[in-house]
Amino acid sequence: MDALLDIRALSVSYRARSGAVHAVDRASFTVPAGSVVGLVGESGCGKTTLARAVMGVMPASAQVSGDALLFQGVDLLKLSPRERRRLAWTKLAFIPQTAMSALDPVYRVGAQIAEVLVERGGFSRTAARARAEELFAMVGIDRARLAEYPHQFSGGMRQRASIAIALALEPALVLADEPVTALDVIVQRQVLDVLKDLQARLGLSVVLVTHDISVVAYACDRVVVMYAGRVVESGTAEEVLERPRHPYTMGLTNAFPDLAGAAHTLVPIAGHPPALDYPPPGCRFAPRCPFAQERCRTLDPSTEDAAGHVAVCWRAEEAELLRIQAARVETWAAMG
Amino acid sequence: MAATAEALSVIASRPGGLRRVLRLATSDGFALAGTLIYLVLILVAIFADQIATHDPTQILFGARGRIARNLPISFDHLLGTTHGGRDIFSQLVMGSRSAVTIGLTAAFFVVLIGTLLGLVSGYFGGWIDAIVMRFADIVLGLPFLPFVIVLSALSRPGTVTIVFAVAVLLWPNTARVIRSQVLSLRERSYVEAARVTGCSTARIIFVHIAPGILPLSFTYGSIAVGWAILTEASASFLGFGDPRVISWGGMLQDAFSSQALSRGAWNWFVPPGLCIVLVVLAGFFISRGYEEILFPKLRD
Amino acid sequence: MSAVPLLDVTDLAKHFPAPRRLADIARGHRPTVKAVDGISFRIGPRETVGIVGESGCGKTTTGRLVLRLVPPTAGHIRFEGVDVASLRDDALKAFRRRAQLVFQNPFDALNPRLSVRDSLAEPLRNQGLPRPEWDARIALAMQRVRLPDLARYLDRFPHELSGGQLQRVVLARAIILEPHLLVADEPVSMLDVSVRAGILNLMREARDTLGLAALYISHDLALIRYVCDRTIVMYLGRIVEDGPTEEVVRNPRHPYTRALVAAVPVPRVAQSRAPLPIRGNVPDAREPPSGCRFRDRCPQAMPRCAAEDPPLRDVGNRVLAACHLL
Repeated sequence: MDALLDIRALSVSYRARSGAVHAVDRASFTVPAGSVVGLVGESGCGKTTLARAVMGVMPASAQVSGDALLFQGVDLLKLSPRERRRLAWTKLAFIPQTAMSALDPVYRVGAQIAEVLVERGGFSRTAARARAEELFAMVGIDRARLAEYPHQFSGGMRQRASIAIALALEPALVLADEPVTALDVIVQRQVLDVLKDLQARLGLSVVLVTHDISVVAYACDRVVVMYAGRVVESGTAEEVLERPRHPYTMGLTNAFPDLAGAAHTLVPIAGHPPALDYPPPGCRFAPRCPFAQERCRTLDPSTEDAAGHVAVCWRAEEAELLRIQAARVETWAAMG
Repeated sequence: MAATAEALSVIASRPGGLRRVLRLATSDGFALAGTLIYLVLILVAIFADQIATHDPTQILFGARGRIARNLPISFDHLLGTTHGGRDIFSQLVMGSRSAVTIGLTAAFFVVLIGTLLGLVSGYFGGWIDAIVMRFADIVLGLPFLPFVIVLSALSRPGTVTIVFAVAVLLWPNTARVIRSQVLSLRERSYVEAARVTGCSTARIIFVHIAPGILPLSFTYGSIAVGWAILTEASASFLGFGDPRVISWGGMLQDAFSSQALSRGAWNWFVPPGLCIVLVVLAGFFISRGYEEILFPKLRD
Repeated sequence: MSAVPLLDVTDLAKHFPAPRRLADIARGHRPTVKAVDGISFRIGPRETVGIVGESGCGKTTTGRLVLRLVPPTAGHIRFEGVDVASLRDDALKAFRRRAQLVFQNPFDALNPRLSVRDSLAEPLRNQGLPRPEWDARIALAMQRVRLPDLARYLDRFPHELSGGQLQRVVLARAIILEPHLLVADEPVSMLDVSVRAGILNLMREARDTLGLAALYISHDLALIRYVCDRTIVMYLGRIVEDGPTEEVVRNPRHPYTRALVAAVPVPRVAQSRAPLPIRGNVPDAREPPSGCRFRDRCPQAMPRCAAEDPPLRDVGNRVLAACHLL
């Protein structure tokens, strides 16, 4: 099976004033061609760092290491910075969290798209203009607005413009960091629909980094759940969300209100994620996990793979029983 | 009044408040240098009587009853003597006293006036703000040295006049910076929270906003010290200082009028000039170091 | 709802002067943004009402108007029968005791230089409550927000607490005076997901255990649905729908509400992905469409919608909606 992106045991650490921070610890997952993969977790779980590391836009003080980071069969970790840069914007594109304010306010939006096309893609000015119009059409913005400045765009439009720029050179994979978090719900839906549409029409693959499980459920084919720098579960969206095998995922799905369903009680997960400079030994979720056993606190849990549905938990086999317990408020309340 | 006392206790109670100040001094090389210079200056000023080798005002006589004029550096006279036969080193040491007095006093008033006006102006806005800021603009338009000179000419030339002049002329910069900080602090949620629970205006200003700007006041205070000393030196140099007080500026004036420059008597005019420069620099270094603590983003 | 509503808002409006562009100055035009443009609603003594809408709809401004943090341009706000705008000095202080606010950003809502104890004591001090009572009240408030371990928290400073703990302290501070009305503007949006549930549960409980009325403001309909008995939907400064939450969510009457409900994603893979029944983007707040403000985005707009602004009327099942189609 040739995945578009194959991440194998990727680790990223920073040097901060207090010491080394291990933002990502041996993360592994794959992104098949033409799929939207949701990378979900709370703040500080390392999802943004991971996306940036894949893209190669890390600060100098960061160290990225791993077994392999395969993109279209090429190991990105073994490339020189120049070769890596050439990939950026062409095969691989990134939409940062601050995309809405990443547009330069003193240039017209059309000019900014054209610049990417001309500088990186070797387009001529006329060809760039035509392509820019095409891109805007793809993301559903009237092409007349190419002549406008960023401040004349609403938040949702700026986000869509950022997507347009990311798509300028027909990348195979787009890494989008919280692309809809700051948007109103109707606009959010529009942007997600644009991404899905592009997936269908262009065979585009997207890694959608978000903290919102509902967004993942709506837009993603596959889900990767991260906690405290580690991947704790991954699989198809259906599998992970409907039949989670890791206690954290079970807790997370309980914590989101479901507008369509009955008004059940939300169940909070007591405590908070560990600091990443001195992570606890063993499973990092153990201190907050209602199903933790002795071995969970001392030994790193092994990876359990049940037909492509991966869960990093000692008790993954008992998932069915644990799920029933996890649905009850008392199970989690006992931890608080 | 109670509110101010509380404000002070609030700042003091800030966890690691003292630690922060110490960290300031040691974190930045420049800030450390500045702090050391200030420390030395203050110590010298306190122990001036012990450190000075002679009475700085006493005319000294050498062998054969002649005035010990323009003597070079020697063990007796560490920096030589002036044209009038006075020991330069002792004068330098004594001069530190007026520097400290004037510097600290003037800086204190600059900070006091600037902070109060900045607080009031920033918090209340509206016409109060307009009046204070226009007043500040007018004061900023006054030419510095000529104002000091005119003031000295009208009243007695002396330390008090200098301090008064500096305080009156330097507060606007402080006030402006404090005001803009207050403008942003005013919008913080916890200030709104205080209003929502029925907090009195005085209390909001002194307990919720003031502690947030006092570090800034301190920063501008340290700059003001340098300016004050410089002003005093300039005024003394031009002959408008207090003739009864030994000051570095006075030394320079004496040296200049005795044509020490043309005689190449660097031992006379270089030390006081150097001291002035060092103290003013120290003020800037400390404020720079403190700025990095206040706004850590500058560090990266 | 009882005879005397706790909060009675009538034709409330708040206009802000908008920055003038060159074209405006040339025409001598003074553009205004009508953030809130004539809204009326009531809240009963123990009701939990949510105001939901997208950014720019005026919900945050409404919250601040109700608490008299900004003066209204027009209309009346009556709190327990008294006109809020006319309150002064002692009466204003008394009002401040009975209506409190929970902030959006827990990291900014507490004075970083005050300990938790001092922050909680602030309202007590400002309202002139006797000192001997403070400790008991602080303890009770902390208990109510599920931070009963006083020794652990009271002497801490804000930077030592997590987002969830901070928001609990903020909530404790808001309820320490035992207010009659609690206004909360996006109280959980800055918190991590696993922490939100805890705060939301606290808010659900507050209405039962504290017997207060609450006004929740959020753009997240799912949250509002979780916490509130009644939901008000705002669009461009107007109320378009107002009714019991389950009704509004299950059976939205106004086209905008329908689009809003359809747009909210749910944590289930099997959910509707049909195109939303809405067109275009939010119009410029300076120049809203004539007649019904929603008409240029409404899939069912009629000529009448451009001419007449639909009033908010009872459309059955205790739901009020402003639409000509109903």
